[in-house]
Formats: sequence, C-alpha cells, structure tokens
Amino acid sequence: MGAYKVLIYAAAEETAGRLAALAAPLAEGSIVYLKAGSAFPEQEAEAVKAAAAAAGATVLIAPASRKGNEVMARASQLLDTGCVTEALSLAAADGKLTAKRAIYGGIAVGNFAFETETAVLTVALSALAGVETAGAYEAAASPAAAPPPAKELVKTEPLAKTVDLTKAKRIVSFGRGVAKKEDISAVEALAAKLGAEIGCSRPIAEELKWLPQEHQVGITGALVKPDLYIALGISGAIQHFAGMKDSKIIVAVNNNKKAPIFQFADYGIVGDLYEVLPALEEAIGG
Amino acid sequence: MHIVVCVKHVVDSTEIHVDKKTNELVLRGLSTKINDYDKNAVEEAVKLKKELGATVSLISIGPRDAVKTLKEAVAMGADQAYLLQVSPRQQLDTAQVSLILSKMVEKLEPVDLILCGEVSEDGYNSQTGARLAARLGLPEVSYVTSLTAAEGSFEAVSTLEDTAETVKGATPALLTVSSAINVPRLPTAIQIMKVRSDRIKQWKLKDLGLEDSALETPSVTMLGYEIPEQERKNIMIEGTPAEAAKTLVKYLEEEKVMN
Repeated sequence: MGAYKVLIYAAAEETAGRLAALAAPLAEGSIVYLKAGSAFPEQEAEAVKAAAAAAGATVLIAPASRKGNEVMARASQLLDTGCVTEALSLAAADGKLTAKRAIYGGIAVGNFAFETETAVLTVALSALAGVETAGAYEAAASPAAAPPPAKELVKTEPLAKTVDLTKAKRIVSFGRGVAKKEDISAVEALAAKLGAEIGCSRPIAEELKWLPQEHQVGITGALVKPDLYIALGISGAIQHFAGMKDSKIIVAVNNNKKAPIFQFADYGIVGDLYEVLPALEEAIGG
Repeated sequence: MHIVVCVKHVVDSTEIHVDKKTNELVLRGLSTKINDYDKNAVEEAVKLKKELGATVSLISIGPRDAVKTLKEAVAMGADQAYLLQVSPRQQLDTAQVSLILSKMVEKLEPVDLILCGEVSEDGYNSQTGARLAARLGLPEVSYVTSLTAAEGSFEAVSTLEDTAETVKGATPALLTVSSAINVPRLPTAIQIMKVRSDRIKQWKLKDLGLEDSALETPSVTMLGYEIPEQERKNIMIEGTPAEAAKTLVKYLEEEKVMN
C-alpha cells in the first residue's frame, strides 16, 4: 500500500491492467482508469487533467505510445507539473516519486525524482510487455468533453507494414559499412539463407532512406530481441545499441577493430564486409 | 507567413562512452552539433519559405557555442536566429525549456507556424513540442511526415505506430516533424562561414520578462544513473574471411541460434 492516488490513461484494458499492476505498490486506495478516447490529443489532455482533478490523483500514468507521449506531455503542462516519458520503472523514495528511464539513448539508466506534487509518466512499451495484466482498477467518471481545437481529421489510414522486427527470431542488420544501395542485395542473400529479417541502423533509414523506417533498429526505431542479431558494418552508436541490446547472441562484422559494436558483441570479426559477407554465405551452406 | 523553428544544440551522443575503470559516462570533451531532427524542421520551414515567401526565424536555448549550431541552420536558408544564452553547465528540464521558448515565440509574434523536431538526440523526452503548444494555447500535430501549408491553414500527415492520420487545421499551430518528412540540405562550410554574426541575436532572460529563478526550479531532477551490465562473450574471431566465417558458423551452431 502506497501513498499516491493513481490515475491510468490507456486505450486497451489489457494495457490498463499492466499499468495498474506496475503502479499498485505505490497506490493508495483504488487505481482509477480513464479510457483513452479518439478525440484530438488537445482534448484528451484536458480530459486527463479533469479526471485527475476529480479523482484527486497525483500520479498519472499512460503507455509511451506516440499518442500517449503527446497527450501526457500536454497534460503535464496543463497541470504545470513534471513529466517523465518512456519510464522503465517507478518507485517512491524520501517522500518523492522516482522513475528510471534510459538516458543518452540507452547507454545508461537515469533515476529521476519528481519535484512537483503531481507526477506524470509514460511507461516504455518494452517495460510494459513484461508486466502481468491483472492489475486492479476502477473506471474514472467520464469528464466533460473539451472544446475541439482548430483542426479536423481528414482521414486515418492503416500503415502498410512489411516487417515487424520486434517479433523476429533472427535479424541481419547493416549500417554505413554497406557503401551502395545496390549492395543491400548481398545482405538480403545472407538473411535469406538464415531465414532472418533485415534490419538497419539509423543513417540507412533516416538519412539515406534506403529502407523504410520499420527496418530501423534503435531508440527511434524498433527495440528488438532476436535469438541472433548480426550487425554488418554498424559502428555501434548508443542509439543503435539501445535497440538491440536484449538480443540473445550478437555478432558484429566491421572493418574498424575499435568500433564500439565489438564491446556489445558475443562474436566479432574484424574485416572487409565485402569479403566476409560472401564467405559467411558460403559457410552457412544450403 | 512567419515560421518559427525550435533548434537544439546537443552533444554528439554517439561519442558518449563508459569509462571501464570508473564505470561512469565520459561526458567531457564531446563535440556538439545541431540536433538532427531539428534539421528536418528547418528544412521543412525553408521549403515553405521558397513556396510561400515565408519568413523563417530560429529560436534556441544554449551556451555561447550554440551560435555555431544556429549559423549552420541559418545557412540552410532561415532568415534569422535568436539565442537565449545560458551557462554550459545549466541543466533545464522540459517545463523550463518550454517556458523560455514560449516567451521567445511571444516576442516574435505574429507567428503562423511553429516547427519542432519530434525528439532531441540527447534527452529523447519527446515533450517540448507538446508543452510549448500547451503553453501557447495552440493546436498541435505530432510526428508529421508530410506537410502543405497556405496562408491561414495547413494540412499534415501524422504517422503513428500503426496508422497515418491526415489533419487539416488553421494557423497558428505547432507541428513536430519526423525525420521521414524530408532530406535536410547540407550547407557548405563556406555558406556557414558567410552567415554574419548579426543574424544571430542574443537574448537574456530579462529580455523575455523572466527572472533568473526560472532556471532554478526544475520539476524533475536526475538523482543519478547506473550503467546496465552487459554480459557479452566478446570473442574476436581471427583468420581469413573464409576461416573466420567457418568458425563463426560453428559457434552459432553451438549456440543453437541458427534455426
């Protein structure tokens, strides 16, 4: 039994259950659940503020989806209070609520304290996935709808996705070590032999735009945890490391023996990608 | 049309590493740069400038060194930049940053569009855009991957995890843009050098009607950090490419991760 009145904000009841389970040790009395609606984030943020006031909640938690982050960041400003996005865990210490989150792209985990009476948090989806769904909560009274902002929704379309790296068992990923777009075919050939999905580093997707962003591994891309992760010509910037550090086995091939990627790897080969790639393909056999 | 773009001066986080002896982050002597995501925002503003004859102003909070970042962004095609200078050691949370930025925007009124990058490479908080919009009482569209604007209105595609939402709205409004929206132009070193210093105006807190205490009361503070343990085998495989490949495959078979 904790000391904080908790409000959770999520679209799916399963997510609400996970958030409630996560917050239960801190909660005083029952946890209140405000179901996320489909109104604009501006209105949803007003709803969170109103529901928090009605329930007397001082800890407000949502999943760190894109919309969740936007709504909660806006709500925290409406409430003039601190906000931590992408939290990995929360606790109470010395009368303050604290939350841990990745800093500098995941090389370290920072422990943050709220200096404001009310704390607004979003919980990293990767951290939520490991929490049981059985947390108990009761529904919040529906707040009155806030007036709409000066905009309208023209249409909503589902994104056509060809790959979900978060579920892949094997991933062959490449970075700037691949010099030309045409050379991706050699990476694809290796991936095909291994039955692996194709991943890439941030520059490949965001700067060169050689692959759609759903192939990007890293803090602004997919957070993956395959059995086997092969990093080809990826130097191993922190931003990439954060996306693949939970892989079971990590293999790195890079021509620079000082590349940081080797520190994160179980097996490393220092060599020219254009020589190692065909050799690997052959060694795997049919 | 007047477009304001928020630009952050950040340390190059790809240079941060852990000192193996002390198990602490090495944060000194890192090079600094413009936040990559803000380049996409500057690029989008410059495109609208060419299309609609807009004026583009950049705003930033940072140490003196941030002038370098702003010169680079001006060289991309912005008209002028404004820097609220703070000490290099000054830590600011998203509530403080959005407060200062909101005062900067108010000083630059009338403003039709405010563009921000979707996230900063150092903090990864994804809060500043939403907080700034809330402080200014403006509608907001986040994670924008496509944008068209005209006098008084805009249309933007916001790309979320599984859906793309097309939103039409009236200005003034705030938009945060994704890296997928464009490929930022690269100004040459000479173009950056040619940006005259008087295009970067420096403001102090009191110019914005703020007291120094605005920097003293954060809503969130970092108590400390830990370095997660990385238990990796770190086996370096030697030999010719063919030998190394064979050895690797043997290891991977032993690990039972091949199928």
